Amino acid sequence: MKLQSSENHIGGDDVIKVMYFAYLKDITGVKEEWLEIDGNLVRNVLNKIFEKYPKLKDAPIMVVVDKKIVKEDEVVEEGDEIRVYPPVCGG
Amino acid sequence: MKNMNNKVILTRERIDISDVLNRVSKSEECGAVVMFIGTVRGLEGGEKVHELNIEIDMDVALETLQKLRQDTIKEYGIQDLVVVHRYGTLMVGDTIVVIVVASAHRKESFDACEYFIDELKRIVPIWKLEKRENGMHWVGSEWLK
Repeated sequence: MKLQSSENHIGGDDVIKVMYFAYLKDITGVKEEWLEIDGNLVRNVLNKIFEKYPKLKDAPIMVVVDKKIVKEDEVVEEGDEIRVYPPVCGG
Repeated sequence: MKNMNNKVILTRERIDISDVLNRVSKSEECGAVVMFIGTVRGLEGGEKVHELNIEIDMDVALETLQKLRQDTIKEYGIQDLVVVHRYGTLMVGDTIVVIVVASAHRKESFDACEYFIDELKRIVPIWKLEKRENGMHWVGSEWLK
């Protein structure tokens, strides 16, 4: 799998910016990264994340795109930022 | 927290409860104001908690709370709802969140307040890292074990 830093990113419609929050940053070791995705669904992004970080497989994570919670079968477009959350617990 | 028209606030500062109350708009028909205050517990799972660090994904949390507020007002027919949530480092007993709801009668205020805090806990991107006597613990991270 190809991984680029944001500084090195030169574009491409199959490269997606993924951001990790709270303790997911401890698991991935990064706050954000660019991942090359096969396909254009949220599911494809998740599969890439699970492949890279097996500990997150089957995790109860939440995915947010454009400030909205998205489902696995929704489409990811070029330029989208994928926010990956562990279970939230405010209040 | 100076703009009194601001009904959804995320702040690093200590929450002034009277300030939150003053933000609630009430008409002459209003006969009920309900307040929920969430505070830092000093004991979790039998372990002492010394400190709580709250992390928020600010932009998404603000927009999610604003939409949740609008939906709650519409769904429960209440007059107003104000929410203030802390982030950063808090000590035991500190106020984490204050929700104030105003309505004509008490039932819709109680119901709306309960719905709002339940949804806040379910969908708003906020996380808690507890500094316990035996080490650091992310609330809700039990699935990792």
